[in-house]
Amino acid sequence: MKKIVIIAIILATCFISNSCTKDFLKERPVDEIYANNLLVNYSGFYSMISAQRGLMRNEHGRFSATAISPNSVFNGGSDLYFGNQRISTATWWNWPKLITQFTDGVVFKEIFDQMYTIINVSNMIINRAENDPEVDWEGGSVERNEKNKTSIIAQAKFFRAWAYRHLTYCFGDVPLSLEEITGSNYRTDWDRDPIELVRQAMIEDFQYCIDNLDWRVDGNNTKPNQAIARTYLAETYLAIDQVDKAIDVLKPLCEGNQFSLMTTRFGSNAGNPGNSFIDVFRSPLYTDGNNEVLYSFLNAEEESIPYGTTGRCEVRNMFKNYYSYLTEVSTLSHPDYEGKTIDLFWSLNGGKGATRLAVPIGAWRLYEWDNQQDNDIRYDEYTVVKKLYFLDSKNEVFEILNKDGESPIALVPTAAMFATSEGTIKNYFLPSTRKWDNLHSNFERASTDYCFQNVAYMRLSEPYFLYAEALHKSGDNEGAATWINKIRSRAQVSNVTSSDITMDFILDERARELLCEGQRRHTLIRVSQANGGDEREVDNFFKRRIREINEVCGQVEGGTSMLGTTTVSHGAELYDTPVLFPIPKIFIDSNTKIKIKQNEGYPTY
Amino acid sequence: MKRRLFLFLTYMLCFTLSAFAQKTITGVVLDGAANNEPMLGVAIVIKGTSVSTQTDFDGKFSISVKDGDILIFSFLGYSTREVIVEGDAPLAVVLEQDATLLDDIIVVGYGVQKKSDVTGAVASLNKDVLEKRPAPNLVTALQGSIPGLKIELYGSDAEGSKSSTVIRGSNSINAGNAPLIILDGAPYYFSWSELNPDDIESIEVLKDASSAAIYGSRGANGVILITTKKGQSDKARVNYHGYMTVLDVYELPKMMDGDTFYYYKNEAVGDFTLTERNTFLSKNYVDWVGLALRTGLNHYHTISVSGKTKVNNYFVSFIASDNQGIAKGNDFTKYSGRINFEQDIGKWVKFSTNTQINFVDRSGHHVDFQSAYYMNPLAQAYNSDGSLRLQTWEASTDVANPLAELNVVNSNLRRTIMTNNSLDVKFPIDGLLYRLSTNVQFDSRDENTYYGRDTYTGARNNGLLEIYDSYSSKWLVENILSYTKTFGKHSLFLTALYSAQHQTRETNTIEGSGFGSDVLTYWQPDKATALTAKTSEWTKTHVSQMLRANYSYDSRYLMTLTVRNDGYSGFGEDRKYGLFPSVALGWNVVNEPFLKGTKMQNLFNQLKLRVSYGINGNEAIDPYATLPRLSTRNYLGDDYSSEFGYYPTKLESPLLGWEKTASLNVGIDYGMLDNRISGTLDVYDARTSDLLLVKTIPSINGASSIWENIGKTHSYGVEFGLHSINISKKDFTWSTNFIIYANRTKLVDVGLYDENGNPVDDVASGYFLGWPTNCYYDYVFDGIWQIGEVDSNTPLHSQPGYVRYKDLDGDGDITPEKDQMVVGSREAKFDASLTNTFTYKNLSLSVYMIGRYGSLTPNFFVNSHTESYRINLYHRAFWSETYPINEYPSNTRDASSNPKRVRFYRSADFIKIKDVTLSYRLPNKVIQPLRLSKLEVYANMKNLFTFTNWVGLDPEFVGSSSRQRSIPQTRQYTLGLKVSF
Repeated sequence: MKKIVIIAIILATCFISNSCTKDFLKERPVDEIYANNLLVNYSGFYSMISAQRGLMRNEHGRFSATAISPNSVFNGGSDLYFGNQRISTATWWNWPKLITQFTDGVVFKEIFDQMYTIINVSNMIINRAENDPEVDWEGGSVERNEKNKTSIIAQAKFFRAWAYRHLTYCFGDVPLSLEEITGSNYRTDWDRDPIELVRQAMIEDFQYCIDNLDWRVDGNNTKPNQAIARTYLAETYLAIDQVDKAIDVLKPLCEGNQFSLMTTRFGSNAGNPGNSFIDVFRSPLYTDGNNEVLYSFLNAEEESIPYGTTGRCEVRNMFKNYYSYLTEVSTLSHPDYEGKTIDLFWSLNGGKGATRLAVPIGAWRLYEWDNQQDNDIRYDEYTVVKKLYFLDSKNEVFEILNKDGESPIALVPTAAMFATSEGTIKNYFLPSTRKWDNLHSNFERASTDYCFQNVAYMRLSEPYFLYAEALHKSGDNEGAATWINKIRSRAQVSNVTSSDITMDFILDERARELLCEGQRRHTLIRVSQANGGDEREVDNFFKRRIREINEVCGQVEGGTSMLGTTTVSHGAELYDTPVLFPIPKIFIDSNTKIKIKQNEGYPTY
Repeated sequence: MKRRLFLFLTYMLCFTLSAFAQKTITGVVLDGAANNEPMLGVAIVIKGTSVSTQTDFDGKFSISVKDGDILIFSFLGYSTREVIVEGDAPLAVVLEQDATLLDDIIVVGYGVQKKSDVTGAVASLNKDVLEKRPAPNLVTALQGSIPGLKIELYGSDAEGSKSSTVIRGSNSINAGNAPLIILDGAPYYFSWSELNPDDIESIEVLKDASSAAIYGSRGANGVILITTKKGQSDKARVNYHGYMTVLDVYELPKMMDGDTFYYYKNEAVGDFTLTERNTFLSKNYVDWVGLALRTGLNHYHTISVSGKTKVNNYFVSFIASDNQGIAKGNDFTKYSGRINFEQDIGKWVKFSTNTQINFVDRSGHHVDFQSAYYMNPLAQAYNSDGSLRLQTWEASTDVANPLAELNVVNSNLRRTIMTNNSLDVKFPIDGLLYRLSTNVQFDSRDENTYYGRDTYTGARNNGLLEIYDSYSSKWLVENILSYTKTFGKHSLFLTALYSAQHQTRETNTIEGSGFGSDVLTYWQPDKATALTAKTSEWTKTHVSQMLRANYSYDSRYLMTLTVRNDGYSGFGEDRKYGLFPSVALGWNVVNEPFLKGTKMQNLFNQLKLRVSYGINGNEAIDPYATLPRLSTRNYLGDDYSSEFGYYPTKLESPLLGWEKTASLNVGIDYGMLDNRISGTLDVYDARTSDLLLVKTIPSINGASSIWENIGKTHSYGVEFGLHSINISKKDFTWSTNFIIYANRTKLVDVGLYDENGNPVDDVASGYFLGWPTNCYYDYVFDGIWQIGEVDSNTPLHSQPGYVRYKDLDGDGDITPEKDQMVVGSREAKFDASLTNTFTYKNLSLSVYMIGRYGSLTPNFFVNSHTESYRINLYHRAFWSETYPINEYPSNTRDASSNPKRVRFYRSADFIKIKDVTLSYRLPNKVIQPLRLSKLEVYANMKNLFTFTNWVGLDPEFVGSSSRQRSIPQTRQYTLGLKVSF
């Protein structure tokens, strides 16, 4: 028995001894980068800013869950665009009132998630840059160090305010988060902060950019800079009805000589038939000689850049029409291109489109103002698809014609546009923009969804329109006309006079100039909310213009269309139809400590 | 011939000796377990001397003896018999199999125990099962063989790798539910397909907390112990087992044919492309699935040599196996060798090794069946000149030719070494043993792939290569001290363990594109236009201590106490250790003296009651899970160079620690009527707390989920196993094995509470109280809107032919907030299997069936499609005005007739005749002239027939949509041969 006791003690001793295991169990990952070992010097901070630029470019990228881009969601279902494919995740692009069914919609969730991802990255950068005295700013001198630091902080602030800009136009009041969040202080008790508070933070961030960033950063227009920050700051002032401040902010940009509209042919496209307007899109970089673009996204053909680096976006896919589905096109064949007629067709016509969004006939007719449609270089065949081409058996290019000997592309209203059922609209004969055309060198990729060229994100026209709008609101229609006429002159159309200037005219001119650019819904929401306006009001700019211009989304019960009486309401005349997006249901569900209030018009628990 | 001569000389020698002093006695030894066939190699010793002999091929022996000598006849696995020599008449000795010896010793982890002493729920796999169901992949044979061990085979690739193994249900939500597999004492991390079924001696499944507690940390999901073979007889024995299997497709989903597809596409879409139009006109439809299929063929050969001497024991095997699946290009080849060797070094020390070397070749890309099912039947596979079309028709998506995968140049090799080496040291103190056990595993995977211009991907990238290497090494050192002591009616077995484990993996990837030529395939990374390389690493470590005490009194009252302390590197700084105690009690009722001579004792030859309770841990999270990692988003510089970008997307979880499962098990082991009826019954209740849970949090935090220890699940279930010998006649036996088990797992708490503190659902994460984790939350299908039923009060977009959703809150609108509910779960209510074995003389027939009841799963084949008829569809019915059905909506282009995309939930219940084996063992008189001790031929057929209402692929292939669209089920025909000499 004694022996057993002794043995038991020996065994137990083995068990208790806990020799130096603490070190053995410590984790030391060697292959990963962590914030703590990345954000120690300027290069580390710079790589986070690089990631932010990539995240920003994703406005033209594809959602993970559906083949549309955030940018198309910022435009679809406004006065200028309807869904030309029945994208099940965005049926409100044709039927504005159907948006109420999408509180769990993946696109709203992803927009919400993407914007807060950017905001969190900014918060981390700003917090660490401002509070960590150990950072090596790699400037070599106190002064250069300080400049590197403020440049990083300013760019981070730009991205943060840029994300809040999208959030406020999409969702209205949103939680304002300005602090770095860790696994120990994350929250499930967020609440929506008043939009005024969020905009105040945006104003401070944009102002910091203006104070600390050059007109062009690192000699190009591919990084956050003072020009784009001024534009957004002015827009934010206009959103809160501070017209004078908007004028002050824009004056140095519009009246200075840093930027100018391109009025002569230039860049890589200069030798091709075309005009100076389309050249702006073919060569958007300042280093290409482009003086007009404030901010451009970089892209590249993927075979030529390292793997794991994406150099593409889908902007063309969203706006260019799906012409290969036209009967005149889908019956074409060519003996040398068996099984590849689609590649051949698209390589001859500027790359494939999928018309997630089509421009309604009503919007194309805006070009007819003052009978300038034949002069307007923004509406000629170099800027807008009006003809389609293919190769004959001698490999010579010919124009595709329909059975009447005309181009299949035309502004023809069809019954499908006014169909009462939820069926798909397939208006593949409508014109569409060539701003995002792609002349990709790899024939096998002629029908790719992606575009690999640099993309102009903001052009000088945007601050000009904001300047004109601010001057108009301050009573200076003369001044407003000046800036509108700068844009019209370059487009080679007639000048307007101060008496022509109205808010609707500015919105019309914006449509003509910025078709398939920018975020039309944001603009309409902003001008509708001006002076305390309710964005759901049935006669505000948003809903009234849908009814006036967009023959698909704007159908009302008993209204008239190009084909006669419409019988079914798509909701643009109803106060109940929301204009802001729904707060994503998953956010409401996961924010368990505080019950988030849903936007008006949407179902709630 | 030589052998005969030798035997003859031996006879002569014996004769000469006995002629002098003694007499010679002859005889024959017969196998009582095999119809009194003669037994070869039975050892015969004169008691108290070293004089010995062996039986020959005819079971005959002769030995010189004196009257009154005692002959001892012994053979492994048989009861030893002693016979006193009287007279000169030849002896006929029948040896019977020793039931206690065969069944009694089972592996329980860090040692063995007599089965009657085991207190936990430990199930041993009947070794016959492996013999009766020949398959290259062990997991196929294991399915349905043990109550509570649920194996789902959800695909039929050549390797047989598509399987999941779960013991007693899924308690954990996010941390994995796979059981721990221990091969010869060391954790086994490779796939089932890399084990050789013919190497395996026994398989034990530890199901309850007490038996699994010795593996405390990782025991929460149960443990499977696999032991490989040892040498068994003094004479070297050579075994060969080989078979050939032909595989054919069992059932294909009924996709639309070209005419049907054209009709429905025309109705819903109306647009056709050039190729589609031409195909329709020429009626030259492509049978994509047919093009993707072939007849499969498997070869399997294994040969082993084994034996033992007084001081050593060896088992050496080699296997070669080559499988060609029914999907074109789906091949799996394996070569593997094993050496098991034990050697006594002096009196006190024994060295042993179990070493396996594997070479596995998974090269080649096979046709992707998902795209074969879905490829447009109006598209074309080949150009008119016979070359493969990369784009099968004119569209930008869903056009890649599935056959072009066969052009991918791919080499995928894996080499593994697993070696266990240990020293057993006996101490002068009787019963005290020390064992130093080490395990080293090394494996490498080298996969090189090249997509040339003859592939869809390669054509778009001017050639694309991927070179992937991964190396992993693992070591484990265990110090085990054990002490066994019997005094009077008490017996004690103590075990203590101290172990350390280290695992590390490194991977290197190179990707390149833009090549001038395809000739060099993947041997040209230096010629790439664009190239990237990536290296990654992880390491995880464990430290464990364990104490176990087994005590029994008079073989009646049994007790096991276990405590294990585990440290895992993957947890937060102060949460690395977990302590896991357990207790188990057993009562061998039939050994009670008061039952002596009662009817009860006549009826039961075995009756044991067991009860156990304990806590086990689950650590199945990846290394570095608690650390805040950064994601990569590279951007471009103005010169189009890569600018590396990192951004935070994951929050750290510094407080993450062990998930714990406390479980209670009550069981009965019974054997009745001389073991004509035997089996087990177990009832259990397991409560898991501190779940390793991925909780959905507001994305405003910079991450939309975080790992936390929150929440609770509750599982309970019953398992019943019955083995009966229904008929046992001289030439004919019929036995039945029946297994049925049911498990229920429910979420009890997911960390969210209402104002009153009661737990509530986590809708955002998809966790619903009272339901298992794999339940389905959806709108409720309520038939189809019929003509005349739609008016202004019906919800938005109700139209005749459209899906009608149940308006759960009755507010007249269908909203995600108020009209969704849990509609069911994929978890089966019952699983059962039935095996009947008939033996007539040397002929044996075994029929094995499995079944599942109570599983509800969305059938993705009959889903409303969203692809505008760019893909082919399952040929199911559509509602129309003239065919107003209530099951499926009308034919629309993009699921408009099912605007909420409700899925179609269908019962995946089935009964399947899984496996039939007919085997014939040639009689000894036939094989003896061939010098063989065993010659058996068999025919086996798998997946004979399935009774089910499920449509599409096999109802076992449920779960994710990709499983439901995988390589179809196969029917397999095998002919095999087993030879021993």
